[in-house]
Amino acid sequence: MNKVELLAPAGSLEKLYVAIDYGADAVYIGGQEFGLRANADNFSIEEIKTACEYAHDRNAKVYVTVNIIFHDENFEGLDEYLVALENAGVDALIVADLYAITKCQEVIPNMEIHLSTQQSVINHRAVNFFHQKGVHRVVLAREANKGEIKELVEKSNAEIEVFIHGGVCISYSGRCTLSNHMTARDSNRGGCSQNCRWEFDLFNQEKNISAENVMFSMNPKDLMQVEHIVDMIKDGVVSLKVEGRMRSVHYIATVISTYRKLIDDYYRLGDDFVYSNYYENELQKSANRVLASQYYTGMPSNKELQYDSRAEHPTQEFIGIIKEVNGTDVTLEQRNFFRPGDLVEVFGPEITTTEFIMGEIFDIDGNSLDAARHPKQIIKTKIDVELYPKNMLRKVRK
Amino acid sequence: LLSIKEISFKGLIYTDYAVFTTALALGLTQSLYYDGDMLATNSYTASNLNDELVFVSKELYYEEIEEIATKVSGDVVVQVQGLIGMFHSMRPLVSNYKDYLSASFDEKSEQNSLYDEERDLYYPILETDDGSFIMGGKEIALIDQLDLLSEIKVGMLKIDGFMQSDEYVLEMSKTYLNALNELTQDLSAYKANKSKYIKKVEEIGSRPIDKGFFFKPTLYKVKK
Repeated sequence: MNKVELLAPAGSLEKLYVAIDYGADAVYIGGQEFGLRANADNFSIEEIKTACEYAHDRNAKVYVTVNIIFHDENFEGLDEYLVALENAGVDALIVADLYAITKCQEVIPNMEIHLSTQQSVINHRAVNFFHQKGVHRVVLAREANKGEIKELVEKSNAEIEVFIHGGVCISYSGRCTLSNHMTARDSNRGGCSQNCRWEFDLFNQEKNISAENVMFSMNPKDLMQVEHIVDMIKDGVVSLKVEGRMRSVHYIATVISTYRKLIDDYYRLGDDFVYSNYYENELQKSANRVLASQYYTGMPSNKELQYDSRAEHPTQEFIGIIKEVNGTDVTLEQRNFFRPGDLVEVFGPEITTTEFIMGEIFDIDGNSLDAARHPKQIIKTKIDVELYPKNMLRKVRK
Repeated sequence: LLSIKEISFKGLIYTDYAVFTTALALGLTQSLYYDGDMLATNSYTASNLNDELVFVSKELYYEEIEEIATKVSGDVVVQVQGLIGMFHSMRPLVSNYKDYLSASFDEKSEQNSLYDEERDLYYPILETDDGSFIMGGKEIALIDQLDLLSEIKVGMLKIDGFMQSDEYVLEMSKTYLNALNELTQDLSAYKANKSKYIKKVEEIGSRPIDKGFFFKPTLYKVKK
């Protein structure tokens, strides 16, 4: 049995390194053209080449999004871009438009093609239509439930990939042009301004029927399928995808390492595997939005929407990344405020998560500090637990 | 599809490619036209499977429509009147809100709308058994642009009847046919009567009108 793929997002080389180091089997990234994060800091061709080399050295894969819905004016330069991606060593392209699928087959016929969730495919006949067009894998619509996923896998000729964690569109993906209407930004070409997360008054004819203190909103909680991973594996899903190219390295490290552990635990233990709250508790440490399962167990209700934004809790626990370890002498890079005496835990792919009390801290010149206040400040301290470079530190909230 | 297989009609308009493959498998003899809604934004995708009728997205600028029209051999179909769909969710979003509030109102009323204070627009929101639809705050009305549509070789004009009455569809159809006839017979008279036609469609409908995206291109990338 082939092991299921854990697919991570990466918005930069640093995040890609973290994703792979923390257990991703594959990483998806955006190039500087034709991707749905048009205004993000996307990868240059040189960076994509570097990413592929790093990934391939560690038996991981790199997928690149070419997933805008093309207008004729966007045709220019696509052929050259596709060739450059192939030459950079990319393993597959994630595309959404029939035009892009056809172009890939013409220009780089050996490239694997994955169909983006922007097509909102949710039935096997549509999967097989795209498979006939040359698509190797389909990223299902987020609206698919357990029964539908199982049936889709059984009846589809293409591989099936599903989202398991992260932000979701409240609409069918690709079926929303709120941005176009409200801000003149083309949502299907990377300009989504997330107008669906705005609040509105709900009217019936001339009468405002919204509540005074809770306006109408369509703000979905973030997706978390951690309880259902084993079922997805048993049902034949090939790839489990995490959303979040714009998220932090801490988020990626926490989410990827948690799902990595769950998947490995299941494959190691088989039928003896027992799901525990440990995995969800770990994921909650990176969450800055409330999490929910959404469609997997049926139609979501108001409980999967976020009407009260005050219930969200910005992540503050992430405090630093280990840079060097020499015995108990540790150099770290600060990411958020902490001080000596804080209860801290260190986590990483090689170690069991371990708590300790932060001892005395010093700046790079050896001056004692009462607190680490400055982002990216280099801090020296002594830590007497097992840890390695690239491990991460976060405050523990009891 | 089996139930309509023997009925005589010209063609079937679909959005999900599953309809296309199923219709072929069942041997439907009618033409199959792809209307990708928001996803038919280029000449290739819009016409790939049948370019006899090429339905294009409503979010296109007229120069984009013109470019598509020059590249396909069939008739380009453009929505000229009615509400523009801008959002479809599988979720019952109005019911969700009602349940959250434990309130009492008709979640499926066609009179429900979302108010955008910044733009002073009411977006119709309709909840059905197929989910929730949100429409643009103004109806598109291109009755005064038929000469330009003709110039850029648009072959078919579409009046959308979603969330409209039968009377609306009937009266709009008559008005557009009158305008088209006048355009064909006497261009200068049509041009002189543009404001009259606009007034007429305003009388038939009950919502504010504008030109949609016909003269308003959307941004691909925002300059930093």
